[in-house]
Amino acid sequence: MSPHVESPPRRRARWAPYVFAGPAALLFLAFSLLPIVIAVALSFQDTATLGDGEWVGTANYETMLGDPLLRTALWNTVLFTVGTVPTAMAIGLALAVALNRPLPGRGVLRALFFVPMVAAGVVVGVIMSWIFNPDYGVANNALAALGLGGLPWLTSPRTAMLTLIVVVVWTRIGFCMVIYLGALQSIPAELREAAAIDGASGWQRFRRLTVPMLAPTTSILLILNVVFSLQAFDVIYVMTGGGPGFSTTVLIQYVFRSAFADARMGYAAALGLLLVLILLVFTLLRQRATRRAEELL
Amino acid sequence: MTRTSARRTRRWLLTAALTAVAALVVFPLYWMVVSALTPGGQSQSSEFYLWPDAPTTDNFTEVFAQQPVWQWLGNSFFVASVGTALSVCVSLGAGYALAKYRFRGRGLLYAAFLVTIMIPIQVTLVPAFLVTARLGLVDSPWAVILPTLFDVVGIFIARQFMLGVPDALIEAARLDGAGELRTFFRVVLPTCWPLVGVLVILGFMNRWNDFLWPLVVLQGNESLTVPVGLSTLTNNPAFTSPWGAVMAVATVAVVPLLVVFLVFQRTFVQGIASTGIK
Amino acid sequence: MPTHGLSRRAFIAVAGISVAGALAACSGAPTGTRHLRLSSWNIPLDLESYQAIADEFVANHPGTSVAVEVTTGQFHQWFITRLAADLAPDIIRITPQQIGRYAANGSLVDLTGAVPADYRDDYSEPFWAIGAKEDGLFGVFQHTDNFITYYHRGVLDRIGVTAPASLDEAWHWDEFLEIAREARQVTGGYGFGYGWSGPETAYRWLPIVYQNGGAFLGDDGETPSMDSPEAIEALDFGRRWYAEGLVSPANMSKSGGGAVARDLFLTGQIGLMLDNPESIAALDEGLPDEWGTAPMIRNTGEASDLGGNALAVTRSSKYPELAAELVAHITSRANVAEFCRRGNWLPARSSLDAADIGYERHADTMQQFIDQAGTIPLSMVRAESGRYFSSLNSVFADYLDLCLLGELTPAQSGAQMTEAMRSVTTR
Repeated sequence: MSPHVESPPRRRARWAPYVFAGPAALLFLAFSLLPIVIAVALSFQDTATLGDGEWVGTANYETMLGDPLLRTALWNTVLFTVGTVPTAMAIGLALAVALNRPLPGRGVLRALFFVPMVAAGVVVGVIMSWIFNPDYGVANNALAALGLGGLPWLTSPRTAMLTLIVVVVWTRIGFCMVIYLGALQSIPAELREAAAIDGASGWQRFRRLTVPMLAPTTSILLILNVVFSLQAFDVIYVMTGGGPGFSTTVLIQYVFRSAFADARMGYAAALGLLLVLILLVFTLLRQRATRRAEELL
Repeated sequence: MTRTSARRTRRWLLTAALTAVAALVVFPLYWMVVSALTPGGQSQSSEFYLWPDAPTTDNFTEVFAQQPVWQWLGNSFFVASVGTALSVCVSLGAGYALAKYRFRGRGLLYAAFLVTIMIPIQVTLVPAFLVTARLGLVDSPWAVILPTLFDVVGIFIARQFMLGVPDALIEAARLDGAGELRTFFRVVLPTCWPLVGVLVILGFMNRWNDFLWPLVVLQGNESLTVPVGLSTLTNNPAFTSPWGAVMAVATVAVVPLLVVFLVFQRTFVQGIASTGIK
Repeated sequence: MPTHGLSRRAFIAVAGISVAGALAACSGAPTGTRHLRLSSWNIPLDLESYQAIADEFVANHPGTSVAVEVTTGQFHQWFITRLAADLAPDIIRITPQQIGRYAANGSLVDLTGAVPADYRDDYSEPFWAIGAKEDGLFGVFQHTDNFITYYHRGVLDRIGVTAPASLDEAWHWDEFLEIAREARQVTGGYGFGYGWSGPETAYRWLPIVYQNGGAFLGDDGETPSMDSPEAIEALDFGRRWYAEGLVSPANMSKSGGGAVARDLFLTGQIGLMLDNPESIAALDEGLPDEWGTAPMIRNTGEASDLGGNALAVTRSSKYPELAAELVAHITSRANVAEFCRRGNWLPARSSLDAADIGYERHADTMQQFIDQAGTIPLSMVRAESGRYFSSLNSVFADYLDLCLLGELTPAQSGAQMTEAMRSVTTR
């Protein structure tokens, strides 16, 4: 069975990968890399909206150090991310496991859970502010019909963040569920049967077999979800505008506000790069954690 | 016997619980449709109802008469379908190159691609617009389509899938004397239909819902996409649009996607399963 | 050789792009025609009015054409991006609160030469000041809009008060709160509402500060002065609205979009509302003949909201003189009257009253609004149309919110607001 070659096969052409990846690379250069380079340059400038900025060295980065609103925004970003990411993933996983069983009507159920994902952020924001209006929104009207008192939802600094988290989790569970479902379906059935024969209980099988098999999926979903959460703009912008007070002002809102309400492009670019840095550090830490976990095993 | 019946009861209980949760999950979109069908007055009242006393299509009639909603829909459809078609081609090519070739700069290219999903659009909006304007694309649908053809998530999914295409298959084609492009189109591509399905659904959905980029590059009420059109009705310091109109347009924005997804959801889940995002 | 698939596709894409580019380059009009683009908020009646006035202009200016377009949501994001690439519309309909920055940073064109000298005489000083800055005339105010008091007839009857009819009988703060408390008894919900619509409109509350003799910025139009005793007293007045449950917490500048006050009024959850003329159409539909209007509230002084829009020419325009001429044409006395009649707006010009305009409905109410417009103070106009106002407005929204919610005392929020404003103006 040793590979015996009669006539030499065609050599792999060296140009081929460049042709295949070429369109993507060109588009990347023009519409991603070039704008990013310009943005990095902007972060070292002071721009009064227009015209040529003035080079100010690291002044924008120094401003960030003493900016109290940035501190608030960072803290809110952490709350928002920690509130949304694990919750959405856990619910998505639970739904995926449940709907991977032969249940009656599971096709319909799967589709229903995915439904929120089809709505654009602006649309979600508009619908949700309507539903959660404390005076005439259906949420409080329903609570009243049940004889319960209404909640302030988006109008109190104590509940606004929680309400936003609920809304954003709602938009994400469908995506998490579908990705997990896909991964579950590619776990070989024999493995599961073998575990069942070994007498493992449902929970044991889930912990010992399903969770480890899903680890790579979890890893990708985690990073995607963190990216989504850090960049969640439309929904928050429409629903609370960062308020009440500063209670829902997250970093991306602050980037937007600096760039367009304050017309400080340079500062906004610096803030945006801070956000990228946070994401990069998070990604690298995660990779290292995975590697360490693999070493331990 | 009792074990199976217990299991059956459990199964039905689970289904019932899931149905209840699903109802809650679908409710906001249901409510959007109900609000669009509710006459003014009742929709802002504090009474609780699940279906309006006198449903009406007035909100739709009015907003369709006043705004070029059909054109918005047409534009969204054009931008989303052409953009998706081209972008799927770009992603397939890039995914194939990254998965199946070793070439100089591959690692760097892939890393650079992945980093771009971390850059928030608010930061690159103005620079990207300058580039697009310099190319003379602004104010045409191509200004929406072209800069969004590069789709990192699409490339990533394509690469993951192509990694799973057996090398032996490709080698065999080569042994038969097929060229690089022939190998790709005749041998690799036919194994990729589930992947294409996933890319099409995700790509279409993202493009249909895209907001900030079309907002700045499109001009003229007749050229807008649906989410941008919707934003001209809300979000204005100069005037407030009635809720009925907003809900009607929101419904129009969501329902087409909903239908597409409901039709293709089976294919989609199976496609995801086969793309090997794991 | 069937091997050109991908490159063929790429070729088609590139060809499509260049065709699109070529089309974009020669779109609009045949060569030689000077084409202008005017961008307005997406209000169908107004778009028609602009187009009709522009068509008249085109008829008198052979070789020109004008397209009326719509301004999409998130104004600054759209406008800044467009200006950066020199692709902003020639003429922009812009609010007084938005115009200051663009007038100051060279984005707008000086209209001095194109606007007839007698225009100035038909404008009140505050309204002219919106476009007239130290170094030129950067916009002409076209129509205005302000706040008066709407009341529910049934509610006032139950309370047993008669609404004041003229400005000199307007309710004072304390009288108004007293009536609002009784109104809350009648409605079972809240007393009154305030006509914000989203975070960008926080400034609509500034008249309250001026009614108490306070000011947002000092006399120089630059120094933040929200920590003055008068301003803090005004903030305290606002805090009472919410502390006493007279206004719904959902009715605050940042929370929710849409017209919360109007929705509450329409469904009888409030009996009074401080709001602009935009509500009239909805009230006619939802509560015909059950509503009336009275002047805006006042305290030691009078003031009302500065609504409305100016027209300005952007530096992206290839034909700035022609565009300026069109602005002058649209803001002529006759055209302002016609525009206001069709769109139910208030005229920016002083010599027009409700009878001149010939509103189809509610001429009395519209006259009441026109009279109220005279109470808009010059210093408030200067502050709101100043160069930093867009940033200052976000700061105002933040701390007003914190005060109205009771998170900060009026004195604290006045002090912190002033501090934050200072960091904007000294940036």
